[in-house]
This record gives sequence, structure tokens and C-alpha cells, in this order.
Amino acid sequence: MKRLEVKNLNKSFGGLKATNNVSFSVEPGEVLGLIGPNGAGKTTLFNCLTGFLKVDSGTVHFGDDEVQNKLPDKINKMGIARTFQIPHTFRNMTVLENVMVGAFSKSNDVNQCREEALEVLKFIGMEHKKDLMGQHITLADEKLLAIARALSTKPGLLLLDEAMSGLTPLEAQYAIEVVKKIRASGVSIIVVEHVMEIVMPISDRVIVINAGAKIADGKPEVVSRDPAVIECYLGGV
Amino acid sequence: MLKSKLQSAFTFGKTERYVVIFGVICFIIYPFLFKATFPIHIMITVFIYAILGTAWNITGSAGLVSLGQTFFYGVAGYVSAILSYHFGVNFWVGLVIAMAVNAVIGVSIGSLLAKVYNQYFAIATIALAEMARAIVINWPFVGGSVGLFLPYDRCDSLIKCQFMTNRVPYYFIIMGLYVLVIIFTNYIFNTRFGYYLKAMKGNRDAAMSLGINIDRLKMKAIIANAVIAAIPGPFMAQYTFFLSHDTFFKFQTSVYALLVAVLGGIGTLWGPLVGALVLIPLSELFRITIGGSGRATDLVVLGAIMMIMAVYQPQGILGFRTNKLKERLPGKKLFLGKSKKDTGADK
Repeated sequence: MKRLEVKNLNKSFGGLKATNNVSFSVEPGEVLGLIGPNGAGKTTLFNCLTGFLKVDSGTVHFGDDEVQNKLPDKINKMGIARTFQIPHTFRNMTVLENVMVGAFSKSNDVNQCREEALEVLKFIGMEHKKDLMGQHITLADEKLLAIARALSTKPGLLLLDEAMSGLTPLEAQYAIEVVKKIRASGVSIIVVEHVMEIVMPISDRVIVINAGAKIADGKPEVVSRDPAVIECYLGGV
Repeated sequence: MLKSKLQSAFTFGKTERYVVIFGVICFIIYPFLFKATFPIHIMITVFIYAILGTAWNITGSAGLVSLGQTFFYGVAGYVSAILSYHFGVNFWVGLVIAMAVNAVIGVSIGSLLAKVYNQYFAIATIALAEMARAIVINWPFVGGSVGLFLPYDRCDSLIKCQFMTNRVPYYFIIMGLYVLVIIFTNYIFNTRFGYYLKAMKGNRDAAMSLGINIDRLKMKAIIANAVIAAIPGPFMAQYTFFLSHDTFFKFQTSVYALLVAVLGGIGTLWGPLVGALVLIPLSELFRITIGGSGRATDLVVLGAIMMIMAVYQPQGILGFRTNKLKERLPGKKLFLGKSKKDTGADK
């Protein structure tokens, strides 16, 4: 069975069709790359999938559950976790507490959640920074922390919205390793990225969105040679 | 289940534990050292504002600035006073009923202000208090603009919380109530609810994406605030034997409740008590020495102190401690630990 199935999703803001009849699916344990030029509607699609925006029409199924138009917290409890373009760190809490808030999604026992959060931090390689305040960590750490926080809600599907942009090549390399580790643990991932060097090697499959509509879907090496994709990135010749 | 709940209610740090024991001893000895009426009155006021500030802190730690603490306080005071005045209900039952009424009010305010945040929330809470004041002035049943004199039975009684001759029992009652409030608040701060409140202040979008129902959390915070802020109201009514719109729906009460929490440290357990211990005696001192005869010099000085605090120490008095222990040290340790490891000097 498919982990996520999106059918004919539509979302418009006034006259602008931000998501135009998009359909795709994600298999269990798959990394799906989602690319497209600026303003293509990638983040809108993410917001529709996670309940931050109401969809106009179409369905989103997560396993057997219908997801569209539910509230963000309900969708998270179903098993879809996300990160944001801006890390949105809880700056008034320590790194460990940040992750604990995620762990509370599935349990309300403080000690148990602390253990789980520590495990997630270990998994992501940030445990030595657990007592730092959210406002004192670097951007790279914030991005990793956002992934850790989303991961601690024990999702079946993780949506990473530009989780690796703005990082130095070394930091990005580390984040890629983390994403690979997460995939190995059986979580499906959708990655939105601008940087092709990041999205191409980690994705099993890539879909390309332009002006709200899906224009390509397939293996990374195939998609990157697709004339329609090249045109939307570089303009018509 | 109950055991784990008790555990989170009595979770204190190591040094915190000693400070608490020392503080409790000091507070118990205090009325025997200072037998005059005035010092005891000041400490009673301190505890009243500490409770109001602690209540403020629950919504405050979620980033919801309430400027209407006097609303909860006044409504609770009036509810218990009317119950005792018209129906002869005793103080403790009246207190519990007032807290229940405030819980219901909390639900309605929570749904009313569900989508209101930041400065708009603060303004809305001011409006609530002013509305309540207007209602009280125009309602003869609750005393109207004249106020309500509570009957005194010519004998001191704990059940009615009436002590005409001596203020020390009042002192111990409000102190006991404050202890209960602290235990309850400590429980809140050490459970999921407390972490969620902090997360809501940190970032609402991220909080929602992590499975937090913001609307329900906000309502719970307002209810907890309303119920705790209900406690000093009935007490004050029995302490002064007189209620009026002027004393129970005074904007200054709201401001002081906010100030003690901000001065002590927003979102901290002991902040409001520390803030009240500094602010209340200080404001009394200024009022006596440089205030009076309408010059309001004392308020100018007080305002200046608050401004200096807001600019140079926004984390409040307790922030001095947190800065050193929680924020700076781990960073240094981390840096040293790493560099040592890199050079192989460690071990």
C-alpha cells in the first residue's frame, strides 16, 4: 500500500492557481524530491498536505486516513511531520526541550518523552548540545533540530521544506547523511530543495512542479534531462 | 498515576529545595519578629500579588499577556462576598464556588478570544475588567457604586475567615493558599501542559506542526489563570470586609500582577513571589517617603526602575541566576569539551 496518495489536488488564491490538479504518491521508505522554480507552489503543496491551508478540491490519503482539510495537530497525530523553510525553533527552550515537545505528541509522560527525545538527538548527532538554549544555536543546528523535532513525533512521512538550504557544503553533506539514516529507519520523506546537488543524489524519485502543475515525475537522472524541466528552469530557447 | 502526578508537583532543583526550606522558615518566623500591623499587612499584600502574578505567569509563559487579572480577582471576590452576604455561605465553600465560576468564565473567555493574540489579547483583557466594573456599578444587588459591607459576626472564626483583632491568622491563611498555588503551578510547569505553553510562546506554527491543538491549549491556560487568580479575591473580601468596584476592579491590580511576574521572571515558578517581595515593599516605601499629596513621585521612580529592568534585564530578577547557570555555562563547557577532545588533552 502507498504511504501517501494525492489525487487531483487544487488550491488557488483568488485568480492564482497555486496548486493545479496535482497527483502523486509516496511509497513506504521512499525519498521523493520535490523541485521547481521560485513560486512554483512547492510550499503551498506542503501546507495543503499538513493542514496549514485548506484545499479547494482533491483528496490526500495517508495510509487509509483522509488527511485533507484536517487541522495541523490532527494530521501530525496521524503520522505526517513537517519542517518549515524558517526553522521556527522554540528559542525560549533548550534543544532537548524542543525535541521533547515533539515527543509529547504520542505520550504525556515527561520522563519517557525525555528519554525518547535524547534518543532522537543521539540519532541526529546533537546530544552534546542538548542543554543549549534554542536562541543560542547556529542555523545549521537549527535546521537539524527542526528535523529532530519532527522526527520525535514518530512520523510515517516526513516533509522537509528546504531543510538543507542555506547550509555550507559540509553541513549540507552531514544533513544528507541524516536524511539517508532516517530513510533507512523506514520513514518516507518528501524533500523540497532548490539545490540540485542535494536533491538529486538522495531522491529515489523526483517530481517537478511549475506554476502549480506537475510537469515531470520519475528517476532523478531522467527528470534532469527532461526538456520541459530544463525549459522551466532556464527558460525557452 | 497519582504518584507520578505528585512527583511532578514536588519536583525541585537541589539548591531550589534548600532555598525553599529556608524561605518557608523565614516566612513562618516573620510575623513573630514583626508584630506591628503594617509589616504583616505588607506581607499579606505580597502574597496576594504573588498569587495573581503566578496566575498571570501561566498565560504569560504561553506568550499571552493578560492585563485583566483584576477581572478574575474581582469577579471571584464578588462571587464569594455575595454568597456570604445574601446566602450565608462560609468562606471556604465560597472560595471553591468562586474558583468554579472563574473556570466557567475562563471557558467563555477562551472561546471569545480564541483567535486573538499579542497586543490585541492584552487590550481585550483590559476591556473585560472595565466591562465588569461597569456592570458592578449599575447593579444594586452586588452593592452598586456604593460597595458591599460584609457582616462581621463579632467573633473570630477560621471557617468564615474573619479575624478582627489580629492579622496574623490572615497572614498564615494567604501563605497556605500561596503554597497550594505553587504546588499546583509546579505541577503544571513540570508536565506536558507546561512544555506546550512554552512551545506556544516559542512559535505557534511549529507548535501546531508538532501536534499541539493551539486553541485548546490557549483555553486551558486561560482557565488555569482564572482559577488561580480567583484565590486572592475572596480572601481580600474577608480581609477588608468591604468590596467596591474601585478596589476590586482596579486597573492598578492588573498592572501590579503583571509587574511582579515580569520583574521576577516571566514563566518562572518563583518569579512572581520574588517580584512581589521586591516591588510591593518598594512601592510602599516610595509612597511613604517621596509620594503623597498627589505628586506621584513614587510612581515615577517605580516606572523608571521598571524601564531599566525592561531594557537591561528582560528575563527578570531570576534571570540573573538562569543566565549564569543554564545559558552561559553549558555553552562554555561545550566549547572547552570540544577543543580538549580535538587536541587530545582530555583524559
